[in-house]
Amino acid sequence: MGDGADPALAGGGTVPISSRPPGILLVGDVGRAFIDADGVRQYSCAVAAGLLDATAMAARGDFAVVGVVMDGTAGHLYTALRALRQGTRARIVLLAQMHEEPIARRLVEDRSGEGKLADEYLVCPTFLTRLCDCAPPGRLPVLGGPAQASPTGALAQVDPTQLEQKLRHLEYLATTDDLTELKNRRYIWEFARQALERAKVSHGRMTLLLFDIDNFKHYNDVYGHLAGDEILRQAGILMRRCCRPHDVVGRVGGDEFAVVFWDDPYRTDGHVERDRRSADTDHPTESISVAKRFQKEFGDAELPLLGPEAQGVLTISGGLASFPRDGSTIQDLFQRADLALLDAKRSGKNRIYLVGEAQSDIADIR
Amino acid sequence: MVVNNSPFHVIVVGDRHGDFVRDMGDLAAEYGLGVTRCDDIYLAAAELARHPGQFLVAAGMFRRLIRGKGDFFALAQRNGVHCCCLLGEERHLERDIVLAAMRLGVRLAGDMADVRQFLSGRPAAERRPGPEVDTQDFFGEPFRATEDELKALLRQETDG
Repeated sequence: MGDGADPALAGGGTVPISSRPPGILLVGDVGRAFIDADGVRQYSCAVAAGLLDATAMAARGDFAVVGVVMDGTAGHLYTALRALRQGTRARIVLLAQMHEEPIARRLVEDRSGEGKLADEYLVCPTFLTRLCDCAPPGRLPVLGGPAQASPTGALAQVDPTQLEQKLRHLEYLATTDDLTELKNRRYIWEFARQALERAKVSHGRMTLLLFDIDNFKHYNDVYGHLAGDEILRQAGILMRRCCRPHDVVGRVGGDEFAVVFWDDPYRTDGHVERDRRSADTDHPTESISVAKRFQKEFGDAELPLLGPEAQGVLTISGGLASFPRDGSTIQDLFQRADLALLDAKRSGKNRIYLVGEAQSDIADIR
Repeated sequence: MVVNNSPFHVIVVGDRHGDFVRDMGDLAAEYGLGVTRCDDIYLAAAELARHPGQFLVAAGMFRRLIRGKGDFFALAQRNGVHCCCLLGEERHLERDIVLAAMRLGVRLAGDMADVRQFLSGRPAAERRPGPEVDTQDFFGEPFRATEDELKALLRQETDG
């Protein structure tokens, strides 16, 4: 190494937590990830401020586990994880906020045939002990005994597993629509915001579909609220079935739904390149296909609560807005998709309009 | 990867099939330097750790190395790694970003002749053909570009 180089590879914003050789490398804002972040000094951890430093440190050190806090790392995460994977034998654990779970889930699946980019993910906030549990057996020799590896203070009185279960339940309640079990508006908005940021960095595409059920009030009034609830539930089930596994579906209002279609990082380079070239101009073809399929399946749905005269008449109206074609902020996309939805309603319902093209029903797009 | 016993090692960051990586490989071979090719700065960061005790030079197109807010330059500086960036046809760089890179010791090159000069470690006029590289000369020169050099490199932008 050149003049003045530290014998141990220097990382930026790197905090040597313990004098013991570290078994865990943490990357990012640890305070966001761990309930017991204050107790991090009791563990044998090193902390890197960013993925670049972490990649260098992981290649030099013999870590058992690398915990990557996903927040704020979205743009370069895939590239960085590939380098991290190549540079270390450590198990790579993603520390995901709840709205990042769909991305984390994709990253721990081997969908490209080139291996997994990460080994596991934990939904945050979590406990450091959970991260330690991810280490291969016998690969955390620097950890102390049980007393050292346990949370301190008030947290020492709490069973981490029970507390985490309660947290997960609270998060579920805070982000899920209890009627349809789809994501709620808060989750959809935050997930869409993050998906948009990733799309900006990777020059990819993100598409938002807003739709509602035509004449929903009529069904409620004529067949009762139980029937109305069943329509909403069926709409959610069918849309989830029609979507790609990584797309996120939510109920964002009374009978209004949203779907966030986002780029799958594991598709082959050819697909990604083609999409990048066409993202500015072409229609979001996959989203359109999903929307068409859903229109058909929803129309064919059989709902006993509606009685025989109402079978096969359910329709939806919707609006599709896509980044970068139709807007560059979440506010833009929601607003434009909503306007397209209104246009679809005014034009006679039972159609989904593409933003930016007057009277452009997706049914007319091949 | 070319493995040799040279005390110098060049980490070339860029598209493996691109002209820059190919030209840098040829140049490094000409001077008898070890060379590793990395697709991106993250792989390059991992590579830094694999060459303890060697004089490292990281070379790449400026636009590629600056990704991630210039953190790669900071990491390189902390570890005594010299960075050499080719500006190429790029004429729309923000001056603040370029100055920040220069303050971190990044050598900015307008073309491959500048890169060659950097690797040879001596002014172009005195350079002799051949692969000889002298350790003292290599890092003895004040390689940091001055602000005047920067203006010359970004001539079109600053004049326009």
